[in-house]
Amino acid sequence: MTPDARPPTWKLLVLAYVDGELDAAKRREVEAWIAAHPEASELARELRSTGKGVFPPAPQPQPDDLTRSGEIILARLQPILPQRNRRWLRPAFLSGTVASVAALLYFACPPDHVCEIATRPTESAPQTPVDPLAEYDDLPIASAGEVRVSAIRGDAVPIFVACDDLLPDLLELATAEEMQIRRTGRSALSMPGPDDAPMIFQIQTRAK
Amino acid sequence: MDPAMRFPEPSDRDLIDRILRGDRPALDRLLERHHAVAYRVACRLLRHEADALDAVQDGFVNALSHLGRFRNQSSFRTWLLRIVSNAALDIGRSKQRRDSRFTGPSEDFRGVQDGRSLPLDHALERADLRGLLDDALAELPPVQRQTFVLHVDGDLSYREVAEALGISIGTVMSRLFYARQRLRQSLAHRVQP
Repeated sequence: MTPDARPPTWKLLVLAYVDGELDAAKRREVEAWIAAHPEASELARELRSTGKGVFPPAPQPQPDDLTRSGEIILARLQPILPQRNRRWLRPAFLSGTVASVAALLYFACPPDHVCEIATRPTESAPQTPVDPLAEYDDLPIASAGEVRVSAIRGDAVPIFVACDDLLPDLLELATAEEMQIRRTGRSALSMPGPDDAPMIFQIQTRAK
Repeated sequence: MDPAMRFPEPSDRDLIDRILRGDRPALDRLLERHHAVAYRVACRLLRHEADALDAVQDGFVNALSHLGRFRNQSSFRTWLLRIVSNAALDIGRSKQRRDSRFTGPSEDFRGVQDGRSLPLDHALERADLRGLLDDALAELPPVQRQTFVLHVDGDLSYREVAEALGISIGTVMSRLFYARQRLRQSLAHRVQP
């Protein structure tokens, strides 16, 4: 991102910056770029006004809700639980057994074994923020399941026929007579698999 | 020795394995971990607490009943929020159809008289602001609303939202961008005298 250039995805970069989705290096780069561009600063201010933590949080569940949900969920799960284990669900049996097992584990578990368990990473380990755009040369705007790309024979220019939440101010549909592609991404003309995303095409007016 | 070192926090996967063996405390632990965030997402999408609880319960049951589709994919939380938010949208759609059939389309969820609707007289300013947001959110297309709520109330990153909804990060970003532009315009319009 050069200081003067305005990348085609600048609005989304500002969004990712405001939402804290960029890694430290990219964040500094985008921050400097925003500071040098008043329209980007204004957009950042607007996006902050509708970001996380701005609005009152949705209501919390009542304490009883958790217990009641547990009972309902367990009852609905009964048909898929193994038959032989259903007796474990009886509360008195369950609480006594859990207490006994916990006591046994507490006194009998060898320290080495405990340490081995304790060092195992869990799913809730904090993750280093990553730049969500880092792996893309061009920003994919949709998965293949969301858009249809068709090509015009002859002076072929692919045309996007897309859903309504794409980026109309970045990509305007045009006819092959009006526009031509200046640079294409890696999957410009075909999408071999369902996970291959079409790229944003840099287009320019076709010379008359 | 620190008790936490002796009994490290089990992963979601460990808890799920125990639940499928009939372990009720494991289910309680999994609920304690994810019930509140799932409820917030459902409540924001539905604006009705009893319906939100139904969506959360549907979500947990469906998530635990279809674990074959979950394994080796995203985290359980992401998987759960996908199912809960879809359940909430389904409940909202069927309720809207029911309401339009019997009471007309203009009924506001906040006015439901069953004692479980969102409070109107508690912490008025915050409720007012929450109500304004809920009204503005209700005007968004469902896919934008779901994406926004998963990100803001579900506290999911772009990547997690993309995994949850099975869409690209670029689509997540474009949905969030336009959702927030529309929200800002809608809120500005509502607070103008």
